[in-house]
Amino acid sequence: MSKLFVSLATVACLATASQVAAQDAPGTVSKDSYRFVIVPKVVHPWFDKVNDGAQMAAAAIEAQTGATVEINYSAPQAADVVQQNQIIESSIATRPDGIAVDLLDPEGNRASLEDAAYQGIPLTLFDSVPPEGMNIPYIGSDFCEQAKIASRRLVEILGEEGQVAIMMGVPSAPNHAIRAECHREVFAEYPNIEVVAEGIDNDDIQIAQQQAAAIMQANPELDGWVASDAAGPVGIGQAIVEAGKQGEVQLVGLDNLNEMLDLIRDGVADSSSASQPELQGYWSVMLLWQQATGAPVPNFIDTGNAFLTKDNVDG
Amino acid sequence: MSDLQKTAPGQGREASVMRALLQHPILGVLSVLVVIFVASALLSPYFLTPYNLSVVARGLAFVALVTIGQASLMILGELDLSLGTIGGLSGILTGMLMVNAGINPWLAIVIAISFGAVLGFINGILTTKLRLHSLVLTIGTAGIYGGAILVLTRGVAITGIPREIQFLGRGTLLGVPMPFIIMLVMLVLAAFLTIKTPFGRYMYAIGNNRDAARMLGIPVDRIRVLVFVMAGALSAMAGVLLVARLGTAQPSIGDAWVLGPIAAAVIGGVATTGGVGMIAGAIFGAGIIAIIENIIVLFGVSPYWQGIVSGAIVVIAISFDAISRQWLRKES
Amino acid sequence: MAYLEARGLGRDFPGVTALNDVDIDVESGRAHVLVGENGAGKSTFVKLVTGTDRPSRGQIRIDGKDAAEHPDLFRYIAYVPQELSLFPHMSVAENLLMPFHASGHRGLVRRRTLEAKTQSYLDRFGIAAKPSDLVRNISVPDQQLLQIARASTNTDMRVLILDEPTSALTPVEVERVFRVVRDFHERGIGVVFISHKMDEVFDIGDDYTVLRNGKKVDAGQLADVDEDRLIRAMSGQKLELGTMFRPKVPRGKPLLTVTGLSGRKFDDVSFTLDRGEILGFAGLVGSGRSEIMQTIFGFLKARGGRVSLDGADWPLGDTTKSVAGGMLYLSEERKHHGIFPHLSLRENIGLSITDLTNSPLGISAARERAAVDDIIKDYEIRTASREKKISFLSGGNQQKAIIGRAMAMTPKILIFDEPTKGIDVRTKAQIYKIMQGLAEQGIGIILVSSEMDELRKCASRIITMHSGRITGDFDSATADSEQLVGAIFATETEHV
Repeated sequence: MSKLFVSLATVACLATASQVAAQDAPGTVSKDSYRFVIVPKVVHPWFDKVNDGAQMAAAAIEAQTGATVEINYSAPQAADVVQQNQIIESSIATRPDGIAVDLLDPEGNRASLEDAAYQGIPLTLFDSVPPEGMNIPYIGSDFCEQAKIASRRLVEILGEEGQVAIMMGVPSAPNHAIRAECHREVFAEYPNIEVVAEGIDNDDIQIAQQQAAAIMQANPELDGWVASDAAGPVGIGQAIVEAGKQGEVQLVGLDNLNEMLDLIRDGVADSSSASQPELQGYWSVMLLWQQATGAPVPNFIDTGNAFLTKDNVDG
Repeated sequence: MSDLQKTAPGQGREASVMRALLQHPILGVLSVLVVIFVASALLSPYFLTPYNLSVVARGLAFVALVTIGQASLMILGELDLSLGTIGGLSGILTGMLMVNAGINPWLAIVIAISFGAVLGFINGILTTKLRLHSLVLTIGTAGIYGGAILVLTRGVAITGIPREIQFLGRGTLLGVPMPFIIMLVMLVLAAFLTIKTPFGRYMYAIGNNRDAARMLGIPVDRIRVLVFVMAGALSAMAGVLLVARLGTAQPSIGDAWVLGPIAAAVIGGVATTGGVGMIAGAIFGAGIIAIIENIIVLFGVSPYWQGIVSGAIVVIAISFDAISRQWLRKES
Repeated sequence: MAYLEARGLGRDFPGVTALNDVDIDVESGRAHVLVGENGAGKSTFVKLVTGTDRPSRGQIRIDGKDAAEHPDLFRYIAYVPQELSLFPHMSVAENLLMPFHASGHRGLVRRRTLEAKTQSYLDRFGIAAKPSDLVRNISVPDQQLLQIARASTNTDMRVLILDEPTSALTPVEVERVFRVVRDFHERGIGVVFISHKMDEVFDIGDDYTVLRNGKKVDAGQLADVDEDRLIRAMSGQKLELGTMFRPKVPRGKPLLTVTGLSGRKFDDVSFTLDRGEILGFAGLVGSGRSEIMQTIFGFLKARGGRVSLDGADWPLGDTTKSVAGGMLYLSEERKHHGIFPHLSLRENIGLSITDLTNSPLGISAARERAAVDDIIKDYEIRTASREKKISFLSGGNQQKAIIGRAMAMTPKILIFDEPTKGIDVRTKAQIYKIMQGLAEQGIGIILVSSEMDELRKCASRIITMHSGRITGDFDSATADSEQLVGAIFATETEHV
């Protein structure tokens, strides 16, 4: 067994060496076909929109350059850093032209990212930040700002007074935790706004619905909701409809899942503060492609947040 | 009647050796593993690359360590659903000892593995003394150990694991990943224990018929507790190695070690009802799962299809095993 | 014409011809007794005529038609296995009438309908249980009768095969089974009756067939033959039926002393076992004899009392210590307490000889094979190979393996609980001889048996039990049968 490993390892080293040697003027290396791998955190509708954006970018590159571009979308079945590393490493073995990852945990993913860097495979991160000390271009939006847009809007429609509740998402997910904390910061600025309950939905619509229903039972005077993940507001919306409290309890949502858009159209939710997954997917592929051509790329691209209301949801 | 005894060996030594080999319980799963390995090598140009093989081997190593423990328990007729959280909690403990308490990392590893053994001991002693089914009990202890992880970490990973022990998870020896080597050593030890020692024979006896084992004077409860201890220590070892691999102690370590090892053992011919199967078979089962997970990514199978594809491969593989077994029985 | 006919029936297994050229006719309304030693081919024959296995040669004709061409004919043949195969956690009614479609139920299963129907069967078979009782809560004889009743709910049944239906029953209960069998005769049903008990064979049987080594060696009508002839046909040699197996060496000093022992199903039991003695325990099924022995052995918990071995206090409640101290218990329940079903014969025996076979490099396969082969030879265990799964061996051969395994542990005290249950006459004699030899070496032996004949042949002394209490202590050479039976029934014969 070890002999096999050694002899095959030698072959691989030679292969990587020859590739590194091909250096031309920045952005002038061109190929007939590209294959990029997108590794999200987990199978989830939000990441489908990332994938949509990645496909859009692939079509754009094909139209502009005539090269063929293939996107391999490879998602862990569970949000588990070990499984994600396994997928990153298996993808490295297929020698793609670039890998874009939404890191589950920067430190936990470090070894796999180092493998890719060592083998000269371009990397881009989206919706997450690189491990300390690693220089990888990343794309994202300000989670705290996204949350604050939502909570400020809720305060506004409540007239700066009333009882509110926060749905926290997955407490151990850093981006969810940041959003929940920023919601709290906003509410703390207003003396007549009282946070009466916090729920945990684990990024699951059904759990969000059960939690929201229970919290509204326990707090009949509740006036409004914000959430910290994409599944949360959808479950809360369902709970509001089932309790017949439409219009009585306000909801400012998060992100742009189709169900979220429906809730806005139906008037159950006032609005939603959305990160822009399509943009993140689009620019992930663009950054990977640019790296593959040898072009210098920026360290960080901010895709910003969109504010969705009844007026712009279909436009 | 003595003529009846003579007819069997009289059929020719080669034929009977051949038959024994064909009927060996481990042959089915081994041939499935070989078929899947060869098919993967033929179908994907990336599969046989040294990097990919080391990825598969390393990924397999962690879950295989837990599988050794779970399969040993299954031979006894027990199941421990808390092995995953024992691995996770022991990993967190190593991290806290090394990083927060600043203890010598090697000592921290020894403490964490012993701690896993203690958690296994708790499962074992409660199962035997309370005469509970281990499955029921460990649903509870899995919750407790898993809850302890969240209490200790508040969901946040412990970073800054010392570099000096990271080679245990990341390093290689002659091109082979360290965790895989450690797993192989444990496998050899476990195989020796179960096949060649009285202790191992007693494990099979207990799994076959616990009452009959007591009637023979086998120290049934002591052996059961010891195997729980062993499984706990192996899971802790997996957790510690994974911490060394990741360079952080993740609260999610062990989440994938609950059903995976049971599935691997069952695919490998270890019955959940006890007394049947071999540890090596269980590891081959884990190997089959690891290769399937790998080629699915190599082929770029859509994540929405992965469950169906990997499930179908497993069903086809075990049907092949079962059908060939029936065919062999009919032949003889 | 016979309803069920076997013509030139044969079945080969690797290395063994289990059945060869056997002709048997089972007539409607008659009892056909099938006798033979363990492994003579009776079970193979049953499997072939019930359609669970296919013959290698020959033909089975049911109602004059070839069953190979009409496999649905096998539904006319009902079979009641020797081992209980009921669902202990389900009710009597459910056990009796499953599968529901066969007992004429369609659609939803309604408890009230099931239980009403069940009561008539319980009355006819004299089963003392309510339809709603859980099977695990009714007595063993009632369970045995329930199995027979279950077979008879098959409305298609024309032939009923009973495989040793009486091995767990006392004479009174055996009579209940026989009443049922005679009732079947009147309804024109043919019965195949498999038994090792000669008195029962002659009591119930009309026709007989003797199998030996897979071949038919004798057949005819029982009215024309005697017991001697059957036994000679079964064993192929003349056996001394009257032989005594009591130890010929005088008893030694007291070995085991039991004082005021109480536990599950028994109270205040005291007795002494001497070296070189075979001490018999007589009583009805359920009189607490097995429980006493399992308590002394440490398998069950004692409620009170003391046990001492060689004058020193004996630790109760720990079978490991008991075995280490030289006490062994061979249970009546081979399936539950004796064999390890998924392991081979070698592994089953090998478990007890690890002291012999173990080395720093682990168990030596060669030494183990040699030791196991010796035991197979010494105890005449009939098997195609030592690697055969023990559950594929016949009951008698399993029992010999268990005894051989126990002997390898060099015991001081041996407790045999119904060691010859379901075992043929010649193997019985072998087991008696083994016990005698051991006792003469100074080992103390306790023999629990429901066969008075067995106790009188082997035991030096017989203790009788009734309802968990000792009712008598007899010298077997001088005790008369009526005294013994009186002590077993504790003179309260009217309520039995």
